[in-house]
Amino acid sequence: MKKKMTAFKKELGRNSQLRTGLILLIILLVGAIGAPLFATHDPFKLYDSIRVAPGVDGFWFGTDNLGRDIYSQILYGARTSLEIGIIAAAISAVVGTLLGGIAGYFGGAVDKVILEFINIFVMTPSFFLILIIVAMFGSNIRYVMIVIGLTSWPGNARLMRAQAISLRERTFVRAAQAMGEGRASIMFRHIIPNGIFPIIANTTMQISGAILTEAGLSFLGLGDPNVISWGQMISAGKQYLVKCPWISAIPGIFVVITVLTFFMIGEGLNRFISPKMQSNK
Amino acid sequence: MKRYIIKRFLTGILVVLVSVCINFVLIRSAPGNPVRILAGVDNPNPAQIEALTIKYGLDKSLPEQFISFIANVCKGDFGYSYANERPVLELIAEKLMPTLLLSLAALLIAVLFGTLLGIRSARKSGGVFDRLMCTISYFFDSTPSFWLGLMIILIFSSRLGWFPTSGMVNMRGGYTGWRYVADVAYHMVLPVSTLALVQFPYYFRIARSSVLQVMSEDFITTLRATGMKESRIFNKYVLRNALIPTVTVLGSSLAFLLAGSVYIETVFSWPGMGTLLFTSISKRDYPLLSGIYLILAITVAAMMIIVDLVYSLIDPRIKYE
Repeated sequence: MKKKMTAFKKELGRNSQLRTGLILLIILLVGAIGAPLFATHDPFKLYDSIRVAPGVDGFWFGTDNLGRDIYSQILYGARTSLEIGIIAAAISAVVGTLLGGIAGYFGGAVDKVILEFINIFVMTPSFFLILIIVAMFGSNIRYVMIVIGLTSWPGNARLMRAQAISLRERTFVRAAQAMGEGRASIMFRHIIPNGIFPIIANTTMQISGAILTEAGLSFLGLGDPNVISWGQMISAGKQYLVKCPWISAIPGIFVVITVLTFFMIGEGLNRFISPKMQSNK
Repeated sequence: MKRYIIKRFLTGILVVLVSVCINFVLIRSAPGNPVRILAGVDNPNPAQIEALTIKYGLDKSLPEQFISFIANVCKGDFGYSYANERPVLELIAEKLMPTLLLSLAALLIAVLFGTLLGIRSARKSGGVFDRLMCTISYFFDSTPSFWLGLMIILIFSSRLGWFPTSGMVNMRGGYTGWRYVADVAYHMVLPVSTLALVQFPYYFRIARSSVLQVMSEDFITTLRATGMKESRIFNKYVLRNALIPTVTVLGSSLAFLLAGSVYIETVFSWPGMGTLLFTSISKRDYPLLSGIYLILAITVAAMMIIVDLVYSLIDPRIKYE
């Protein structure tokens, strides 16, 4: 473990993508967690200054069509984006790792059934499924997270399956088998911990995807009305695009930065795992 | 090969079946009475509700309901939109062409430019061009398409006034013939560019990484050792092998492309499926929503199978069991 940490530190020194990504992530996390500290106004309060330009009247990023402070909304919106991204990707990682691990390690009929299941899932247009579910069952933020998580696991399952197939032939797994260790125990103690790294990298990238999906749903009017979301902010500014472009432009810039952050970390991690591997989505 | 084709078809049928099941389960389990959901939440017409109950056998048991649901879908009946007072299939057929026009034009541009730039980047990987292109592709990959669309409207139509902000044709123009075609093309510039910009990074990265991968393979080194010209190696051997992954992702990118066009159509008020979907969400028109989903699921499954078959023809190395 200590060895791995030093290797990681060394990697940080030359892998600028990973370094930049992690620095940006820390800034985002600090902003999101410390939102009440950094916010200059109440993000929900409707102030009398409607649609004022950035910098005017002490509103750093201006106000929106209802007079809400955009800067404070951005801070609280970061919470929503990060929360949705991380939880949805975590659900996808857990489901993908378990199904992929079982398929790859157990093989045979189990593998065939799971593989077919994965194939079916890959072929269904998941974006539209998410759209319908959220439209029918309501746009509670929890639904959105769970639905995004449950529709994005096939990539992880494929990665874990490939890992498990190669790991199960390795001597240390064979040795554990010979010593009478149970199958479930081998899977959780040897296969998954040794094969998890590509899934971590992929999951980081999926955070980006989940953040974009949530922003998109909110833009289409399917966001949770009880939380502040960057997608909803962009949508609110749509009608005032020409006269007050900042209402839509500023939250969009933050979506781009946040998504980019997780892409950079994921790519950086990929490069760390196998320096020869080229980016391929 | 024959077995492979049969297997793919079976998977395709399974996908459609699963989609039908999902649809059924969703309508059944959504909060509220399914008849009310099918009839439109604000539709109090008792005659229509009565007719729906009989048609879908909603007074019968669940398995019987499921069978009548499948039977209706098999007959090509994807439901009736009470909000629009028209069958779902008819509504979708009308909006399909504008969407295909928009998304296929964007796909063509994205694949063409993405692939060409990717190949160029890979030939001089690590150079200035490569690094610049990688950064640009990351940027557009991280940009929400709807936001990019808004910013493009802001710059190119509001500020510069070069292109129209929305729509497919100039309603007041009343153009016919070539003038009409030119007008549609003029209206297409901004939405197609937006969609192409957010799609191109995908093809850029695939082309770049597959060229790099093929270039590092042993047979290329062998060819170099024979003294063959670098340009000949590249054009004759590298390119052909490196383009295969692009073909394979075309099928699966269709769903991705259609999803992208929902946003673009909403932003640019393009009269296609995306706008139809958007209005059906705001009107809570569930039959239309689920009908669109079902048709998309079938289309995507069919496309993926076709692309898979084409792929197996292009690449003779692939011998399917």
